[in-house]
Amino acid sequence: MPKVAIVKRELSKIATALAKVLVILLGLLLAATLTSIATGNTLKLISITLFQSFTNLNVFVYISTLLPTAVGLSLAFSANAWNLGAEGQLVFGAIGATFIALFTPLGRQEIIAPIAALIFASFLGALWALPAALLKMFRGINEALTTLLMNFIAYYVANYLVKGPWRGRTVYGYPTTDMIPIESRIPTAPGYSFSWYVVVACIAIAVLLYLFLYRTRVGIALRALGSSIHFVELSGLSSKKLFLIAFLISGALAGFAGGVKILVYHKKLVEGPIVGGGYGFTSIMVSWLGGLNPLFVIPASYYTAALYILSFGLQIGSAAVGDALSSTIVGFLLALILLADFLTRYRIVIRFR
Amino acid sequence: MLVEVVKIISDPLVVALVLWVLGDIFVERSGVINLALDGIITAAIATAFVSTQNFGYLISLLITVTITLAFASLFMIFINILHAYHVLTGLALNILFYGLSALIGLRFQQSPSITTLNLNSLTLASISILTVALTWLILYKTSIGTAIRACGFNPRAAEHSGVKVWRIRFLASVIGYIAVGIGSYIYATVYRGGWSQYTGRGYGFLAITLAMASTWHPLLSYPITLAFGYLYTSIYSLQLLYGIPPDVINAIPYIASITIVTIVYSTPLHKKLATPRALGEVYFREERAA
Repeated sequence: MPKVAIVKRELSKIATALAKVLVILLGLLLAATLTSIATGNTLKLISITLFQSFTNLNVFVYISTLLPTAVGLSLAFSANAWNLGAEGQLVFGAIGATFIALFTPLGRQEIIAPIAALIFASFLGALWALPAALLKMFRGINEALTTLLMNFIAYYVANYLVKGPWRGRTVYGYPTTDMIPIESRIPTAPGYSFSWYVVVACIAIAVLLYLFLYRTRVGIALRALGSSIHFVELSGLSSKKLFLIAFLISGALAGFAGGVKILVYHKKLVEGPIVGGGYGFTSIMVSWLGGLNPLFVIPASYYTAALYILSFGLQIGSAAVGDALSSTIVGFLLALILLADFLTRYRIVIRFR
Repeated sequence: MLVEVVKIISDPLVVALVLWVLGDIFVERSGVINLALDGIITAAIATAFVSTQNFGYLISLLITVTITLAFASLFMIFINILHAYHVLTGLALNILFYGLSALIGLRFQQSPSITTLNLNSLTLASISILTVALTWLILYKTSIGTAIRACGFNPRAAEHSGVKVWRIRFLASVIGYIAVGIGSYIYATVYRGGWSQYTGRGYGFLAITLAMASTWHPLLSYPITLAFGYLYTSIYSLQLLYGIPPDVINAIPYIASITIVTIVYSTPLHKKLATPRALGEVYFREERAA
């Protein structure tokens, strides 16, 4: 009887990154083949759609939501804080931005309005992350589950607002608020619904957080929190405080992304599930794909954004089948990444006796 | 009052919800965060619908449970053998299963509805009550149940006392997902009788929430699920009578769940209820290279 065992191993960073890239390419090839079989289109047509989705400028629409959220989450996950509530924090950021733009005099000031709205959005995002962090710190309640539930509460809060007190006067009964004033919108690139300012800001955030996480004492301690709490405590930093910092930053960045979504894309508050759109959940996978390193999260968010575009490309034939197919493919690719993660962190030993 | 209670107990949606919650309790008691539940329920409902249309009610039940178990095994392979993080696996597989559910449904459905299966109230009520009793018996009165709860509380200690953690977690998921499969079958054939893309999405997260609100205890989960079932089925009359917006009612289980768990953890109750402390812990059994 051969003995099978699974043992840990450490590969170099380059080998790990290479393995991931290889899996991604392999996955795309497999996905293209599967799609061509399922839809009856030629492989060439599928490949063209694939290429077009990676070169389409619209990827920036998705990057400006996915990148800040995923960067924040990579900070939280590095500190072993399982914040699954990015979706809800994003929705709350959107609520905050709408509040500043629509219901305060600040909303009519040029330049000040978007900045104030984004700051308040980040604040509300962090605030929505706070209860779960406190419950974990002082009561030991699993933060993954509490943050997950907070998402749904945020959805319903947004739904309540747009159907009740915040419903617009000029929307003919649709569940949305009025449009936010022009002064508080962020100017978009001509012909597209994303803003270069936001894209630059998002990349700057990623670089800044990389420097924080890898070049400062607090950041390095934060990453050590994931592996050894005692080590961090011995170095004189409070592990609870670090945990709270990581949690709040990830909440604030998700809130920021929500604010951006309102100021650039929707331009009004809509129902919770539409504002969130599942980006908070996708960001979790994006940050993991980027190996929890803010710099690698940039290409990871680009890749995921391209997959979003691809999923619209596949809907040309039949929207229902296209949506189902793209969801299957994305899920399959994400599962492949988990497999790659296993292969780089463990090895299988088989001995015959 | 009594009529109301009987109506809730025998409501097919509530019965399905009870089975999902109990299935989730089995899996999470063994220490696995069961986020893939939502996707698996969606896929199982699609399977139940199309197989009823193609093969009739009885064979459909078998097929649904088998397929559900196959999906659950995929989830467990990732968690137990590939040592993937529970949360990530759950979220990734959810997306995959949503897609699969739509593909299964669109590919094999012949018409968008089926005649619903007529089960009388007594049968429906006894299905849920029996499952509650059975879950409690297995979890608290058998050695397997003790092992499952030990894996959820402290897998390392469980391994030292001779429990094979991977095997027990697999077993717990098999038992749990049988209940989930039957629940999805009841939802598709008795309650809904129809299918459109992504029918049933969201109930998995609701089941996870209700399981958490009952601190993963099968006997507590029953009244809590019934209470929510009452709120949910009377959502419109509550709005008409008292002016409570439906969104507030929809948010209640999530708020209640966080509140109840906070109360339980802050008082000596948590010693009595012994919640699964190691929930979400990736268990790696240190092994030397053979």
